[in-house]
Amino acid sequence: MSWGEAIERARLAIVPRTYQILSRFSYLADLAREVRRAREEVVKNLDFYLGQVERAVGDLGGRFYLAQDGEEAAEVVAKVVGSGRLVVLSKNNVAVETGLRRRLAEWGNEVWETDLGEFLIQLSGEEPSHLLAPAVHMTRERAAEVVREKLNIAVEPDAAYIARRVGEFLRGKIIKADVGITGANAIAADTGAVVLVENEGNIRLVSSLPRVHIVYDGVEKLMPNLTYAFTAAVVQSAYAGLYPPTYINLSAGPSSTADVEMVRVTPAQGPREFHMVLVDNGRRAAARDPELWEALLCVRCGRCHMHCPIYLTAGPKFGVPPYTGPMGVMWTAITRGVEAAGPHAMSCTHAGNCRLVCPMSIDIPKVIRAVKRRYITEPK
Amino acid sequence: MSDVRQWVKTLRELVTYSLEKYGLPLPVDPGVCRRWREGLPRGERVLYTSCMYQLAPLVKRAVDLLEKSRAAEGGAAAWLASAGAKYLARFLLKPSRDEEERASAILKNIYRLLERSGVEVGVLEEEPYSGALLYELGFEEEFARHAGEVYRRLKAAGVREVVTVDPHTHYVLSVVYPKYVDGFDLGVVNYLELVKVSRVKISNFVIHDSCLYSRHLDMYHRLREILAPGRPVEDPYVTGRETSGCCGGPVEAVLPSLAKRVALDRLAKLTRLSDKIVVACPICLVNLGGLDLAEVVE
Ligand code: SF4
Repeated sequence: MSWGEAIERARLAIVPRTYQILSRFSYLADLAREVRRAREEVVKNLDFYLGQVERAVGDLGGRFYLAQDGEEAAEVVAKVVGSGRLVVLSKNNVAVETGLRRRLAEWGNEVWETDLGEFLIQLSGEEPSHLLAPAVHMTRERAAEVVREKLNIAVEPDAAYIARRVGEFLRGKIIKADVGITGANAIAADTGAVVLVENEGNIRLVSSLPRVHIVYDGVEKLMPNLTYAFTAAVVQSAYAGLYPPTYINLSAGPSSTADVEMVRVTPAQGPREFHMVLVDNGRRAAARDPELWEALLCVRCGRCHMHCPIYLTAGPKFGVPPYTGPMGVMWTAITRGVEAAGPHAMSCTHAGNCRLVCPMSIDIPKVIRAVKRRYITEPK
Repeated sequence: MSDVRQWVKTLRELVTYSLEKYGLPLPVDPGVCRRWREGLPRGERVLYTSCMYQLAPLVKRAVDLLEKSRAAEGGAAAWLASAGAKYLARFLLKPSRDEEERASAILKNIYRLLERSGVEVGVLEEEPYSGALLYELGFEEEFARHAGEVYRRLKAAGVREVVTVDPHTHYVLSVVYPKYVDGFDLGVVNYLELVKVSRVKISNFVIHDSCLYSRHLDMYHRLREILAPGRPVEDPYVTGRETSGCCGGPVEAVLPSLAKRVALDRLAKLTRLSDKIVVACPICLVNLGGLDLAEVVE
């Protein structure tokens, strides 16, 4: 099956479902507006909120790191993890952005993606084609083939069957894992609490079973407080067409208990170490950029992809994975620079669908136009 | 994609060279833009076509020629550097007779439709090109200079209001000019906002919306109001304001093969609904062309 057919199937599944959710729960649009306001506040005062979260994570008994670029970020994690460990990851676009999985494997660790789509990408060695559904380009037949070939597990070409068999395999890994690495849908700057949305149930396990939990994401995930962070997660899942999400997780520091004399001690059942690594990699410069800053408001719902005629035709070649589609052109510019994003910006026809469906009302065509202009007029 | 920037620079050379020499963004004899309006009166309110209907079919030909030349000379970079756009510009492009007649017929229809709707409108003796292509390619500096000049010429011709006939011209004049031209004070109105229609000749057709009209200029519903008597076929995931797609035209000059694939994907969706497709833009008309396409006024 071609890309065109695969993505059209996905589009006709997710687009109507998202419209239904938004019309049935009309408060979601109001929440999206609130999240936009809060995100604007954070992006405009990013360094202030970074200072705040650093202190908050320390207060929780965790460790905070701000990494300037992808290499530094992966290095920090590699040092925390060490070598010879079993590491499990939940889906994490910043890990893809910064080559984290490869880096950890190079250090002699056994590393597994636990999100089904990302796991299939890991097995096949292909590139992720969508923010939330990285294996959206794969048919069930191909997925079954990949699992059969790489893991030697016989599976039927059936989505439920594949999910079950892969689930069993991964559960075995998660239970034994030394380190769990997750991203963050949103982080409350004032308390350091991390909110994570999911449906598979892997994030709960990855963030609670291993004795070390590392939160690894971009600096733009900060929100002023937990209410906003939670709301951002709700909005993200709704505009992704999955509402209510099956799980929303909150992690704030290593596990703890105050059951003996009400004195809070760590660890308890969950992780005994909690690390937060936030990656800059162009984000802070973008926050100060009069044209690119708006892209930082993105909550990663992936909705713009499904309405973009260029993404629907060109596929993951529109943008640089993991950042594909309309948001991807903007985010390629932020994380890899205008030189890398320029050719993709040139493919944009400014159809304008993305702007209309974006929950953050980001004027995506305008940002892409700026990338285009810089690419063709600024000297190399 | 690495040489896309080089390619766009060549296009820019071609466009600026042609603008200087012919007043049009492609090397085209300006006579072809004028013919349809011979004998029509002048006025303060003018129909402003920016020659888009005559130019649209030529974009592809200009690109084909540029592409062929670079293949023939072996290696794009060498050809682009040596012969460059000026070599190409010696070939004067011309719409075929059928293309020119169709463009003229569409424009005359628009003119008559406005007359019948009681809208008095004249034409220009010399009609400058809007500069839309410069803006769309990202050459904003050149665009700004050009736009200032167009404004000056329209003012000198005594124009107070322009009536546009295509979305690209309408968008640059109504949205972009005010940002780039100091003191821009011309009225800009689109013919679809003015015409009164009571009868639509065909039925069971599908509308392919122009991206600009529907999503950037808020005219999605207006077009449906006009075409309602013909009962267009709608599908919320093919013809919705947020779900419809582009014809690929805006990247025709830069990435022709992508433009073609986008057009084919769009056509596949549209033809599932009807084999009669109605468009309201000269670029859509050309890019989706080859099938049973009708311009809205036809
Ligand atoms: S740009 Fe907007 S629509 Fe696209 S992923 Fe981000 S928030 Fe969602």
